[in-house]
Amino acid sequence: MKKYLMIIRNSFMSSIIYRFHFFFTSLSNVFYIIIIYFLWRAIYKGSGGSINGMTFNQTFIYLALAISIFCLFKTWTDWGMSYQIINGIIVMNLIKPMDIQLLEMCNAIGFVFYNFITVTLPALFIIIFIFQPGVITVSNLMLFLLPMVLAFFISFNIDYIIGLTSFYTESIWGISIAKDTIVLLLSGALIPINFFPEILRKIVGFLPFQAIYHIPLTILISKDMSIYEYLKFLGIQLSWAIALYALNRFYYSRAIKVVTVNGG
Amino acid sequence: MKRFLYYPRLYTLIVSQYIKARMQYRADFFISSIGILLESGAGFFSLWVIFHSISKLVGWSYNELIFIYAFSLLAITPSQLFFDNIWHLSSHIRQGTFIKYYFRPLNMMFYYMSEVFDIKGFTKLALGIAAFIYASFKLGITWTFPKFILLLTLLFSSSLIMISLMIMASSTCFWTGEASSVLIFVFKFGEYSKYPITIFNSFFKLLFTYIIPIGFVAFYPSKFFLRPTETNILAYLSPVAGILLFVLAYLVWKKGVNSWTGTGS
Repeated sequence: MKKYLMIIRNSFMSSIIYRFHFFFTSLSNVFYIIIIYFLWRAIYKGSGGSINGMTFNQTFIYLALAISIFCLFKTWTDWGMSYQIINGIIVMNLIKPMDIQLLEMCNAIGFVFYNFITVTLPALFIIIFIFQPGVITVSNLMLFLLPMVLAFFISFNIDYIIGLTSFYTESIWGISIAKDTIVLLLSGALIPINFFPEILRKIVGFLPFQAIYHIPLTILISKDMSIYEYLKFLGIQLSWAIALYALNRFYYSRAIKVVTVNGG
Repeated sequence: MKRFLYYPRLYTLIVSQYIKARMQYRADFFISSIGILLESGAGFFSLWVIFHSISKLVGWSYNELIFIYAFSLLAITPSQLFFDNIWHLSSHIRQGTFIKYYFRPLNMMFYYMSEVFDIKGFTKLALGIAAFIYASFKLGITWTFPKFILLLTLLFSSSLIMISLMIMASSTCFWTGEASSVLIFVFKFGEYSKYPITIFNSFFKLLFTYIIPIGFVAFYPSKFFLRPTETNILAYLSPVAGILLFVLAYLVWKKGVNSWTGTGS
């Protein structure tokens, strides 16, 4: 256990050395939040307060937090694995007495801590103190935590699938870009799922992406959620987490047989 | 005159070698093209979904917004096609491989940028052209020859604005050693150029017109074709803004090149 904690610490420490980077990443996200604020204010201008059952405040909180969570979970696992494959340094991880999936996950957790400080915390401050949307309650925030942990696990496993794909293809530039777009679109992080046309909403319900953003955010912004509904959401997340984890175990056992390392 | 022809000839030579080298990875090229198509297509998808719930966005119709978006795609494409090496500057600086560009009897910026020609950008270009034709057909815009020349001039200056902003962003790495976050910051602004500037309040309107001139990338030039009667004086400044910014970007780059001390290896 201790060795995995060290991995988390290392990955955190090595990411905080770029101070300048830190500042602009934070600023980028703040600007994005400002843009969506004005964009959605304009969208809501002609309507009578609520579109598709969501008020402006709810939509804004939903989208601003969604992008903050996207940045929080952006741990570059897939890029890192592809880099290790191309350079051959994956060997150094394969010979360690550690489980590679867990090792990558610990790396990702270290990154999440870093992202939390640089991106999510400033974003939260801005959302709460400048825009003052006032739809979040403390009890909602408590209920929000567990779904967030599960959401991270699902998000990591999706990245890990792409990372394992690099065992076959080496470069994953295109796949990774496509993945980011698909996840952002179909998870409701760019436009709330409530806005989707009926048929699309049904399809999205069967995919794992909405479990990353839509479920935790719905829990956060809804006013009176029954315990039954809450448990149902957790159930969906948990089943996706288990399914993706099992898939990755199987995929790894196949992929490890084809991996070729040049030198190293 | 000879000198004048020398650069284009050299450019085609360097680029054709690069394309040959890239063609080794056909699968990667293919998948990346799909990735870019999805990435750029996502914006159209968002518009499509949003317009299920509303009919107009601050007075702009769905097709007009498609037109502005297509314009911004076309304006961003040249920076991807010809200046994609911008993204690798940080790693050249940190590893010291940038030193080689000092030793050639060529313009350094030209030589550096000519080394990468991003073929994937063609996907974006194709998507942009298709959307542009679709929108102008739907809006019933008649294309006359002078209008077409105007379009080309405006697209040229818009892309010059984008290119200049990107060059300035990447030049920061001469001093800081790492520019990727600044580059992403500026690149995102290119993406925001697809929204009408009129959605913002007066402070951000000023900011996006004069300080970070993304309004000139797509919105102000598009107005020439969408609402010819509403164009204000600002739209005519677009080419001037493009050229001035490029000169500024070149000076920043030059200053950076001269102040870089190398890595010693």
